Amino acid sequence: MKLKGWSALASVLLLTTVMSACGSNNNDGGNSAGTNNGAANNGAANAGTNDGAATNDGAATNDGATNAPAANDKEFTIRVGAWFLDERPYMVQFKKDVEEAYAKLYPKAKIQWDVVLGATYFDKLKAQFASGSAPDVIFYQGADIAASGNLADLSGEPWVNRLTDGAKKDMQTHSGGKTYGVPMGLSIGGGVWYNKKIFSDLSITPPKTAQELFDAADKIKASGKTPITLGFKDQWTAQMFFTNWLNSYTIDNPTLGKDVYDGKVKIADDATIQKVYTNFEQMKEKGYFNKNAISIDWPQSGQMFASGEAAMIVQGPWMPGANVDNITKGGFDKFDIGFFPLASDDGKVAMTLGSNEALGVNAKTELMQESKDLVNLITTSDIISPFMAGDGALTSFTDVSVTYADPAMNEVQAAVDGSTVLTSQFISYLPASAVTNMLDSLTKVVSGVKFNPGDLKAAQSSLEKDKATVVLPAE
Amino acid sequence: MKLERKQYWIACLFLLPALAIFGLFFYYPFLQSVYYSFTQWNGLKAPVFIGLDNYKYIFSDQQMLDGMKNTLKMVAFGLVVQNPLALLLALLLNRKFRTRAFLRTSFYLPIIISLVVTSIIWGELLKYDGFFNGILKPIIGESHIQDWLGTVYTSFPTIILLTQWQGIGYCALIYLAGLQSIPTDIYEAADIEGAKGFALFRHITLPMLMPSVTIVLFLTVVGALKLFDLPYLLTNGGPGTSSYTLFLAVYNAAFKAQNYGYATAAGILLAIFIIIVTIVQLGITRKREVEL
Repeated sequence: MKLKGWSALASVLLLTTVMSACGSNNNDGGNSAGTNNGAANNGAANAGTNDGAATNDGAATNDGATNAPAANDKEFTIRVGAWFLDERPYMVQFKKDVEEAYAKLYPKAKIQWDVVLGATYFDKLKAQFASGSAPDVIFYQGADIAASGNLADLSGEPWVNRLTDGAKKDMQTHSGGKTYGVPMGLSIGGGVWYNKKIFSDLSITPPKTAQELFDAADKIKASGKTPITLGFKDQWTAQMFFTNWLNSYTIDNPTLGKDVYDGKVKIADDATIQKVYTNFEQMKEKGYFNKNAISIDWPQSGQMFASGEAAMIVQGPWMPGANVDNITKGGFDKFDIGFFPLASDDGKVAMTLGSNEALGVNAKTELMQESKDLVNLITTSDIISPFMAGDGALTSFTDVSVTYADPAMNEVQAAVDGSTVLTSQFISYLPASAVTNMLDSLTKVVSGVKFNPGDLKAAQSSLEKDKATVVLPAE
Repeated sequence: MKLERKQYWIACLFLLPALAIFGLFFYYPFLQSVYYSFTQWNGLKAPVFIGLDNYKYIFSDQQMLDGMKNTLKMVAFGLVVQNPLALLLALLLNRKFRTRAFLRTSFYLPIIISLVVTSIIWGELLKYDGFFNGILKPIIGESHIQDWLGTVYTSFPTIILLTQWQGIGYCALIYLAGLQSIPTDIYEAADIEGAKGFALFRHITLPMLMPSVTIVLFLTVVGALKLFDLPYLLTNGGPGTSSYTLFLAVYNAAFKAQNYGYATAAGILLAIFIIIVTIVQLGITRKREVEL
């Protein structure tokens, strides 16, 4: 078994060598379709299959010490793998809090943070799983990882009972009725963040239908600004925009994903899917996007938004914090931002809510109890609440409340409350290869080519080929 | 005889560690890869044997087909444009003139710059509001300027041109070395016989340069077939699949679509394709080489 693991690792390395693959910081989604919105620079992706019943009004603050064992003198190093723990202040604070709390339980233990920023982490993690060298405690994204058998069953852990109803349905941390990870907050899949000053100067109110969005974009364009900035060089941003808009259109057709999976509907023939593509086509034709939409990445599009050059950006819940950073670093004029979700033609809105980062334990770790203890203390309010606030996530625990620095997050909460929260979304039923094909078609349209439904046949054939790899959402 | 046999076994003994390491880290994984190419494997779950399905699908996969189309364009461009230009450049740089050393260095300089750095620099120069469009705007008008790496019509041609920026200087250097190895007395003899200008090039320079031509063509063809880094860094194959190359398609099949089995099958097929093309190309050019 060990030999097989090593040979699998060597094979992956050989494949990598054969292709002369070089490293990159491109966040183009090392995620399966189950993880729907790809990896952002902070790894933002939503499984997007959760009930929206998350609440921020936690009751009493949980004290991790009540569930934790007494301190012992065992000397060991515990490895924690992550792709998002960078130098942002709340991340630094998170690591510090975890280390201090763990030192109280295990004074002689050392936490080793195995951080590989970006999507490369997931490639490495797969190789580590195959070779039996994965970290003891693992941050991850992707329903396929939860269902892969590589994570320990944590259903019996004390924090499981504290999960909100929405968190209990989180696809990324639950599989086959078991809990494999902690949802580190519940994040929206994405939506439109707008510059309140530009909207107010042009007397625009947040659009409630697709047509209102086009009208707003028209006004903004006439004022000489870019209505919406895209950074589609990072394909996950294209995925986020497309899937969030498609979600709202699928309210009237909630079984679309399953029907496509079952072969009852062909991707290229479906009017709902085509409608979203034609929306993008229309917006491109009318010049609502930045002219370099395809050749810039998410940080560059974020800069455009922060500079006031563009009025809207479709991004995840990290946007308030990221925008403040961009304004400070770029020396731009400060402005308030607001949020509205992408609506269908008739104003219907569906939003996904799921864990952005999930936290599990390696099923093969030799430090099983120590790992579970570490995970347990991370779920305590003192540690996880500031993390959720920094991440722009809603709470995933009934006894953890989150206070946000930016009032824009209240608009996110209001949007979630006023929308249909989906328990699964269309692309949850597709393999990653089919999603990639659909995004290829999208970037083609956004580059200025007329939408051709025939281009979606590639996605259909990828679905038929890779159907077996899909981790289906719970019914 | 006994001594020879003993020496043979001692040699084998010394080779054994290296062979064992090579076998363990190259042949064993390679054979494993061959097995994986017949499976559906996402890197997480156990591989599922699916026979020849991966190999069959390669020929109808749009990303692979577009990758193949672009790769062949790249090969053709390298053969038809890059090589003659490199030879011309080498012939010019082989002449004696005041700035020769400076120009030789200048044309070689792009080779020593990291491709990541190169791609960042070119990405900045070519962006919509970048340096090149800044120059072009007053000349051709704003409505005609392009996001050179952001349209399906211009992204791959732009990448091809960027590869020439590095490739021509490199190939010219090899030609230059070849030109300098041709003995001058052959030219002197030809001169006495009355050969001049193009006749000298056709009957002496080119035949004597054939070993260099073989190397340059080999490097051009294999380099074009392996093109990965620039499209990966500049466009990641987009928009759509317009700037996919074969290697990028294989890479994305593995690390984007997470089809490791399929990507391995495509990688194996690609390796076989490169070997065949190389053998054919070497066979053709070697026949024309002249022995001194």
